[in-house]
Amino acid sequence: MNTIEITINGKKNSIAADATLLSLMKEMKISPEKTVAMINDIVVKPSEYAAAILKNADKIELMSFVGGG
Amino acid sequence: MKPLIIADKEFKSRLFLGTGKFSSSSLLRDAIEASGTELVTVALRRVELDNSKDDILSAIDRNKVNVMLNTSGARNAADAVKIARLGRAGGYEWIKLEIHPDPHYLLPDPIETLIASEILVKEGFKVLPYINADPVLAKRLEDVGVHAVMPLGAPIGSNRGLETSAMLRIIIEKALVPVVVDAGLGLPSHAAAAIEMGADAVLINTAIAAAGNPVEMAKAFAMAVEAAEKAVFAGPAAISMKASATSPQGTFDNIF
Repeated sequence: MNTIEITINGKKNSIAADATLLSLMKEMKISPEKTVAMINDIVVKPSEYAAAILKNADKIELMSFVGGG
Repeated sequence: MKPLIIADKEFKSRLFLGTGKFSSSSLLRDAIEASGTELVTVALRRVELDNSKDDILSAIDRNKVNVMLNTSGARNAADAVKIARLGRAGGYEWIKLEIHPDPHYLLPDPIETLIASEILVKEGFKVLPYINADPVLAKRLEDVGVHAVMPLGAPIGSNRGLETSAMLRIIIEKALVPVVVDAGLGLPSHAAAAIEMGADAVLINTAIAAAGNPVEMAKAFAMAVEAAEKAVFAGPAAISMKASATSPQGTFDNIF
């Protein structure tokens, strides 16, 4: 299986070459409904997760909302 | 008092609640209920892969309360703008803009806050900047179109009360947008004093979340804010340097 190297929340990961943002979240057991994301500093809308194909060396940030003042 | 309107929303309760530091989602749910608040704040953080943790935000019913995303963690305007844009992807349009690079006092950076406010207002966000109690900055922010200003009473989480009261009075006197006293209020009496001073609302987090009984403290704050609101509406009697007798004038000189 072909793989690519990406950085997720600051950590290097090896993932399948055909992965999308949505498939990545599912594999990581993260709820897409509760997650907001950036690829290379650009915000990706939740409606675009399924179409967002990840490329080698992409920097992914996955964030969620938490309690805060 | 006239109804509190911020941006396009009317608020019956002048008590806003931060959702940090609550030990469980059920406690937060009960505190929200007890406070009667209609506006709560949340934060944005990197996803944690430990799914066993209690999802604190499950306590928030977005049909009942408005939710405002804070930009805590932002060190500059660029960070804050990114956080707001991520928030928008998650359905948040109300931004508590806070940019505090100094970790000891968490005092807001006025220059970065002004820069970020201008950008976020242009992008259509509802922008409520957290600021030091600086009347000139409050006006400058108003000029760029923020929807309220949120000056601090004392450093975040310090529970020290209205240490900035002299400057808060000027902000309140001059402001054309609502003034929300945010940060540092530790007791219901502090919140009441802020409302009596003319603040439109208060934002409380630590004083409730870290209280011995957060739900009872939420109630106490709600009562204090409501009492102060009624007092402002009723119109306080004048302050005088001399005594003013409350009983009919006279002595018992000719009687005893």
